[in-house]
Amino acid sequence: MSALAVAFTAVGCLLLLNLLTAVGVRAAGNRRARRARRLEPEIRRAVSDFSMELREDLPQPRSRHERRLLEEALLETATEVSGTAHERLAESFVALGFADRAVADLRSRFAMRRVHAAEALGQMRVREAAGALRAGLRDRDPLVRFACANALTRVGAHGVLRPIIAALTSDRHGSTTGEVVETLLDYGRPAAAELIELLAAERDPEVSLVMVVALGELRSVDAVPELVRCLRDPDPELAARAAHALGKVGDPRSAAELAAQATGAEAWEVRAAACGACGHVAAPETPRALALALDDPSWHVRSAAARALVRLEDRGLAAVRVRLAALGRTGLLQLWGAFELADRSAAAIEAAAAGDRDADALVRATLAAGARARLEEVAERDDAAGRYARELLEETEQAAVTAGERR
Amino acid sequence: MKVLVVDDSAVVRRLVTARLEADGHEVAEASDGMEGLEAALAEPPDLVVLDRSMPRMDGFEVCTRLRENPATAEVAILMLTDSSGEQALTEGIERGADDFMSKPFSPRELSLRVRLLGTRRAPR
Repeated sequence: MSALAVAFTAVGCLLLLNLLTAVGVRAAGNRRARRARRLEPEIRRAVSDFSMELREDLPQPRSRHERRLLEEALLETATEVSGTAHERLAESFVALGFADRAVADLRSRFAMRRVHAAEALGQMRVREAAGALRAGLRDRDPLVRFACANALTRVGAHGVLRPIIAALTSDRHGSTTGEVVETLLDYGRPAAAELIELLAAERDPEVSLVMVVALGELRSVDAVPELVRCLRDPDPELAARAAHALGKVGDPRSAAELAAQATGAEAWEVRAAACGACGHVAAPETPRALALALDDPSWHVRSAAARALVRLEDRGLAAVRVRLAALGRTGLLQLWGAFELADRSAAAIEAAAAGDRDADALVRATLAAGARARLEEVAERDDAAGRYARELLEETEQAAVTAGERR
Repeated sequence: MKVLVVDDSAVVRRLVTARLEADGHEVAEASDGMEGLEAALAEPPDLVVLDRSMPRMDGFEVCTRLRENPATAEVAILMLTDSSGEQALTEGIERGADDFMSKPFSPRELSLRVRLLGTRRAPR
């Protein structure tokens, strides 16, 4: 046989071998896929039953593929259950070595793998992974930092709130204040005590801002003294956020300072935020301050004061009536606008018709200031409010005619 | 007791069904609000476990429609919500839900609440 024939035969054999290998690999892949399709529902069902305490053990995975299916089913089921069911799943997650692998994956060179690892550890609340997750707060990728922060709040590790906030607010490509606060809220109510302590010693204004917002969202009554201190801060953004937070808490102990800032703060942002907060705090000081703020030079402050007064209902009306004579036309019309926006103007006219003197004074004053549209609409009605509106409009027209004749 | 589980998450349906079947209930499933409403009207159950957020028709709307129809007006409704916030609860009460559970849910608590709802409302 010539050398050429030998070479051709050898190449042919190699090609045939390659072809057979490819066919074999493909067949094995198909077998695995078929087995996976068959196994997947079985594994999911087994995990469900295990979490529901309907079976004692999970099936033992016999291949890498089965391990992956089992891990996915554990994570998927753990997102939907709490209590004992979640504990059972989390214990199995650790016992099967998935937690160790996730901790190792936190050092993967692929960012999304690091993100998934952090999410899995958080989902399963693997407390032993707190150290690795804390290290992940310094990851170069903001998504990984965010995932690690979320996971840390879920695993319930102590002393992590300050590093979490610092990590998430550290660069301009990082998370928004809202995202950071949402992450802190996952930590739950125990976060409040730690945040109050941290806020008192905090020097970074951005970090303080996040803490203030979070304390408001947590409705922490214990945070009121610290939030009041922030309300007096020279930084208007921090002071305004503190006012907003105090409004969310709604504790009467903050009323005096909120009232003082609503009328006396230098920055309009702080005055407006304090007015908004006054509408959520039930105390004698707040309606009085809001009635004064209706004459504020800033539209935003007047608007916030008007909306807060409407929210305070009868107490708001009573406070307005006290200073109705001194109230400027702009503030008065803005207040009536707030009644209109809250769909409460017709109700105010009805209350006036029913004998409410505060409401009557307000309706008369706003009519004198030029707000007639709602009154004219109510005057079309055939009830007590309609009669009241017609009489009031006639009185006003008569007064205008008399004034014209005098001139 | 005949229970209808209405949830767009297959995982939740599987979990709730497994738990309630183990407790001896007869369970049917629907994967969205519209399908759930049709199933409930076709064969009124004793209790509906109803997810709040679903495609096509949300849990609140299903709740309202069930209460409006004489055939299902008395069916007990346990609503699964994504939050325990005031708004979700008050709207659910207004629409006629009898009880609530927030997700993620505890299967033991689910068993207990279903049992209590069953004793409050006698099965048909």
